Amino acid sequence: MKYSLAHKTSRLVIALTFVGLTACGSDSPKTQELTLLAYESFTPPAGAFDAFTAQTGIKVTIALSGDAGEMVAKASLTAGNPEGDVMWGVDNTFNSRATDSEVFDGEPVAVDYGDVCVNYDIAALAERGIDAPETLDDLLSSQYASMLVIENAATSSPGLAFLLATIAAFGDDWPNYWEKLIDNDVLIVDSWSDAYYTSFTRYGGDRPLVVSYATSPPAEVIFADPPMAQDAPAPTGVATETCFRQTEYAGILRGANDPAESQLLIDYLISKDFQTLLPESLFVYPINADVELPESFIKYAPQISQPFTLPSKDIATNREVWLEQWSDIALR
Amino acid sequence: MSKFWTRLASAPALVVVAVSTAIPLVAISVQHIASVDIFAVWQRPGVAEALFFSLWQGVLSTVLTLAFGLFPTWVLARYQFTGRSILVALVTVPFVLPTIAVGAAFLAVLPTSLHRTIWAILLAHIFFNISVVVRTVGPLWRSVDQGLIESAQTLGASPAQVYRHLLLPIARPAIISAGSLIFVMCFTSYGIIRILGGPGLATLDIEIYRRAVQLGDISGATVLGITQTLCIAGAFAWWSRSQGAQFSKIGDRNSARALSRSSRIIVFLTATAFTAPLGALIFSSLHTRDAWSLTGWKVVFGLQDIRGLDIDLPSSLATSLLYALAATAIAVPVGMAATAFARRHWIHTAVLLPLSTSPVVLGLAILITYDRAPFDFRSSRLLIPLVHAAIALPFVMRATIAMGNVIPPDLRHAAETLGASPWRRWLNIDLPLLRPAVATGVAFSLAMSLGEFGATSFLTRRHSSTLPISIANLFSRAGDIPRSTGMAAATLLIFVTGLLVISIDRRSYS
Repeated sequence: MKYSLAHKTSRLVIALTFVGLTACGSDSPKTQELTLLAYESFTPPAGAFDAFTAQTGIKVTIALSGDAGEMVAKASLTAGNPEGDVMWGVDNTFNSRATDSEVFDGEPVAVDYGDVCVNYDIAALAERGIDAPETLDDLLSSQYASMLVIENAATSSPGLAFLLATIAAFGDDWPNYWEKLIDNDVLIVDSWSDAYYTSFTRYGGDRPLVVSYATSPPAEVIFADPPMAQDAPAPTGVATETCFRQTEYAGILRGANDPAESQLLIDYLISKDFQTLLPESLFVYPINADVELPESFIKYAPQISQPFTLPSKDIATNREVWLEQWSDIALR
Repeated sequence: MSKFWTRLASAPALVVVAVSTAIPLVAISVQHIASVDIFAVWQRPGVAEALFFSLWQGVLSTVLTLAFGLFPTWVLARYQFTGRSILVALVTVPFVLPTIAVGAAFLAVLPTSLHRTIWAILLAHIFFNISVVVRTVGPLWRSVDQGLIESAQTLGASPAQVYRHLLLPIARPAIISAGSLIFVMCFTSYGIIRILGGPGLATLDIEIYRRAVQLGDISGATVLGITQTLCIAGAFAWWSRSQGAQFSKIGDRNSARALSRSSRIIVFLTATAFTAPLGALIFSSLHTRDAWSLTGWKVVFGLQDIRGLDIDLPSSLATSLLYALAATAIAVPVGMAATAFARRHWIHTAVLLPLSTSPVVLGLAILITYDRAPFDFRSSRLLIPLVHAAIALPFVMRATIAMGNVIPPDLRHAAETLGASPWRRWLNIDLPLLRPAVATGVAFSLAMSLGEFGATSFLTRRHSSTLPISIANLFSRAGDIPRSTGMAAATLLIFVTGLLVISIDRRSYS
């Protein structure tokens, strides 16, 4: 008797917990509302979707989580029963996996792009009396020994992009390049923040070369504190022949509540209105060619005319093997 | 009667563990483990090494943390001195440090030769987990009657003998409790190892992340995730077989004593070790490459808008506090109820489940389990506080059980003889004596929730981000202002936690 009462009570507790949780998951499909899934660092300016809501009467809720890789892992598991309607920000290193697991309804569209390149600290190189590197081969020169810090390709997105740049550049001979790079005492750290903010000379580290983005110099200017003098050059530069191009895509998720409305949102994401906001909030280039670049990009971001790139399919097929080979050379 | 209460009181804790972790883990195992992977995944490069590394560094970190932690624990428990509560708060706050801030702060004070070595990891693990020792063992030692120690000394016992034959046996259950938690924390260590250990060292948790996210191998990641959970449960079950002695001598808690010379040295060393990294953090929040600047702090408090930096920090702080309060409101009553009546070991092993599960596997498991109406609460607002509460639960329970052991059985028996119901007995006798344990539970729940990153980041949020996530976001931008703002936000997180901990301790120890 006592046991069964306790049993019933514990069932009641379970039931109440479920009710409590369900009551709070307010997600009614009746209102004109779309959910846009994106990675954590998707931070367009406040009010970026007001124009869309004004035009269509549809409210946009942004749902964030993790980085692009985590987002794709989650989207693959929930393909067909997605957490939102539209997903922003799958890049070409993950796009093929998303397609293979039928995450999207139809083909995703490109929304922005950016380049991962070796950056250098202009003042630190000048102090050492060394010229800036330009190409991947330059990095093997003994004058750059113990000067470069890169991110772990197995855990970091720019780290992987830099590995892919070398694979695109050297083909099957890439392991040979990496043997030499390691011999030149390159430092491998966990993540971009770790490389940039603890090992890069500009922030107190001892490495004047770092794998970062082609848009890091304009960010350095915009966020300089104290502000930089008018017309002063950017404090960091980019080795323009070391770049790998990352293109990001957005698409309608298979199983979205309303595919027609979702298409309107995709149209808005590539519209001039929205694309204009991208450079100085996400520090990427707009895919929409009608958008005029802001002055900071024109002045401080170098034009990367011939970035390295690889087909998304090749990346998906070979990623595990490449990363294992790379780990054997670089980490052990 | 007592059996009924026992079952009822531990039910909420089991519900929290079941809903947040156990049910999702079963669901993901059933749906996503390909049977070939159970053995095959271990053949992949790096996997077996990761398990081995997790184990040995976990054991070593635990032993070292206990060895170094017992000194400040003794001094903080037995002596009354100015700044005591600040020092207690100081050793608690590392819990909430975001990993990139740890990286910056820790690397700033460590000699370069130790950067990216196993030593950096061990030191950081001691730094992070010492508060578990201070807060689990401390209240027990605090309650030891000074007369007992003095009579031992009168009888000719040396300090070492007093320690070995009196203090150590008294503290043994608490030391075992603290050790098991520290082992779980270090075995599953993620951020510290990634940043301080360098890329060559990987724990099982890191390997799980790599498989799930980089390689898209959900089956392999789940196999490893389940193995990790079982490993920890096994280690813990074996560990907790060694039962601690019951002790029943409640002392005068306010036996305030002035610091002796050796204890002064311990206070000084502890204060220095914990102030230095925090000092480095504060410095970087106020100093850009070549100038002093308050910009970071202005941005944190919403006093200055920076073009291109649309991260709403005041609202992140509010969200973090809200989640922390909600998680504490769940974890403390639920955990204390479970320990008040249930002394069975399997419950203590069960509540370790959420803490010992890889955040990635947990996140994926929750995602696929609660994805259909009426249970579609993948993006419910309550989900994150619930997960935080589940992670904090073992800390609350361990603090309570360690203190519960010092409640004199004759007090309980007397109450029983006088006809008090178990509830009344618990309310009037146990609860007042457990006040330091409640404080510890609250402090740990708040700190755990305020600092939690892995699971929070992996779960989808439709509302404002928490502060640790906004900090990570700031540190993903290049430039002086994102960096100093990130440092300022990390400092703020530490101060908020520290203030909460100090105010809780004041109330409970007075």
